[in-house]
Amino acid sequence: MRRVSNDRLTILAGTALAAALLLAPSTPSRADDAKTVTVGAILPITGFLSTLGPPERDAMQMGIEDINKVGGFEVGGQRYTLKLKVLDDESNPATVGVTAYRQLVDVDKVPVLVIAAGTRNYQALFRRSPLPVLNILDSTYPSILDVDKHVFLLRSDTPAYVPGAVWYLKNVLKKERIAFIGAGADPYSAGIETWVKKAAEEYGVKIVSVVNYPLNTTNFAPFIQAAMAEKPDAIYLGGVTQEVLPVAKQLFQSGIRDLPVVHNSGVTPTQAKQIIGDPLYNDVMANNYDFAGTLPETSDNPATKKFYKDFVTRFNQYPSDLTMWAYDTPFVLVVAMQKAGTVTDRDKIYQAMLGMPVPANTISGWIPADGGKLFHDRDAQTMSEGIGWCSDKKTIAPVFLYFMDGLKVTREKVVADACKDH
Amino acid sequence: MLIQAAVNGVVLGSLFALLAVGLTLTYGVMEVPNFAQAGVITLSAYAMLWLNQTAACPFWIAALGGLVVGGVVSVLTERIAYRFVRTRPLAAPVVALGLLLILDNTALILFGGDHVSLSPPYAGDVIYVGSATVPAVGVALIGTTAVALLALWLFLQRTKTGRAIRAVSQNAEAAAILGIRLERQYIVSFFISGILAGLVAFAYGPMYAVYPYMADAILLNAFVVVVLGGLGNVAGAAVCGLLLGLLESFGAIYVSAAYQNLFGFAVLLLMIVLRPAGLFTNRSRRVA
Repeated sequence: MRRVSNDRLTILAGTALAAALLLAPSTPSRADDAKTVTVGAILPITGFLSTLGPPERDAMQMGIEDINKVGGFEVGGQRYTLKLKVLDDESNPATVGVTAYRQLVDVDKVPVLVIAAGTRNYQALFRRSPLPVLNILDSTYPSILDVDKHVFLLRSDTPAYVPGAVWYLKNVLKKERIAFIGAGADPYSAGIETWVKKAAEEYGVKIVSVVNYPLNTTNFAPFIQAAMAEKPDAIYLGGVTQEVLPVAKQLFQSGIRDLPVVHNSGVTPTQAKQIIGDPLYNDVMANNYDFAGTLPETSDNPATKKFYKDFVTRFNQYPSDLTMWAYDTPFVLVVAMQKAGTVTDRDKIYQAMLGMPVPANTISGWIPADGGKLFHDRDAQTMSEGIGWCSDKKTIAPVFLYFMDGLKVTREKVVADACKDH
Repeated sequence: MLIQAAVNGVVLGSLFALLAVGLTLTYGVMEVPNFAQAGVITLSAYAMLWLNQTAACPFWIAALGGLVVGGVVSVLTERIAYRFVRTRPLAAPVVALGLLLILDNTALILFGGDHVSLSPPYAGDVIYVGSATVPAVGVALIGTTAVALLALWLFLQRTKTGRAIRAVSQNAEAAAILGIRLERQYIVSFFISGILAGLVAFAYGPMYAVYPYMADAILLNAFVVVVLGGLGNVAGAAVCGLLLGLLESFGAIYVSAAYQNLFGFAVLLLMIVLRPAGLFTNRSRRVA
């Protein structure tokens, strides 16, 4: 065996020590002592809702990074950082999502869970393993808040934005005959249909035809023909982005180009280009109006504007309203855990959420409930916004800001020449 | 409304016919219910998309490339899987479903789950037929189907290889005794079936979107057509494809659009009870 001299050992040890000192930070950061809290999330990363899951995941990760960047947060004298664990439900919450729930809640023991679609599929699991659940997508009607008392909705519900679209059609675009084309198997579309009908009755607009196409329909020609047979002056599409845009495309391909097409999909220019195709998307979107939550792009809040720029720079796509709610989610969880004084006790965190204030540094523009609380009966609310399409710039611009008080439109602001200053 | 419904029906029927002919061709020679055809369509569509958008090839070059990919993938399914179950008819459907899962998930892994548009230069054009409108993509679908069916008919009737395929489909053992190379006919049949799958991708992709499961749902309609036309009967598949398209279109307008898919399956049930061999079956002459 080759022997190593003591001198050489000394040199080696000294070099190693010097290297260790050089590589180590001069003073330990606060995060060095921090423990990690894992936030569990079940999102539709693939499948027909895949336009929604990935941006939500990315925005939530941005929020977590911003929290960890300043050293995390403190609960009971102990410092913590956050870590995100996302499981893909493949847009199939009934089977894949339920398995993911068991993994995160029963195996990984996450203190809180973030979910997106198909909340009703988890009802039995909520009862068996209750924990606070934050939903950042599912605004189906009837409300998912009825499913279980542990469910919180971190966005405005369907009645908060659908009636405003009908109001806009009637009072701004002067349309009075709406044809509704919906996705028959999608509860989101069914909820929109319900509120379009309620709003139409309230505002004196006539629903001239209602057509719902079956699951997996790819050729919408018969449904378009049935809807157009009653000579509508506007078309309302129910469903999410990947349901709405193919119908809008086939409407255009069928020669229907002069009627306003309204939906509640939260579509971004990036998604329109991808799903409809370039250069057709610019023509198809020209008469589209989309009513949902406010967009980060159109916010006046500097923090929200910064988020918008950061998101576009990092992911090369427009962030939708969902991304703001997703970005804010970790901030909500941090305040709830601090208020509860624990990062593990699910019931205490749940109780804290019920009365928690609107967290600082959030970007969604929450409208507080009585006493400055974030949640109005477990629903966090923001203003709603209608956006139009600017063909010159191939992008979107806000045309209408509003807040629904029942079926009464309040705080309304119609933007006359939205594309001009955008 | 009548003309528009008829036009819609012909567009839909052309799609069913194009898809069903590819299925019935492989069923005729090998008696395999080729569910994997949907996966071949998907991969062919993604090949067109990749060539057009990533490799920046002109659309028509990309379409040709996609057709070749469809043919090659289809032959691979025969070489890698189907040839081992020729003598085991009960295993064939299971193998076919397994292949479909493999092909769909290959597309998912390679290209992701997003819906992406395949955009030919005529994607936004409209053609007016009296009071009815036909999207240019629909006209392309009708034209593609007409040309493909005519070419296939000429191939099967007028060429030596076509006649050999028909012989194999009628009686493989007798064809082999007469010196026809069975393996070659199987490969050629699957290649043609793959080219037809590529044509479906070319014509159907621009109507909706390209995604990993894009053809799974319409494949069921195509199987209805295959059964209605008589298993292995190319002409029967073409005629029944058009009939089913018209039936679904008129049913959607005059009964209820919500039950559009139901009409086809209702007719299928009636056929199974009243004429189980199909509308155009002639047991002595398949693939013709």
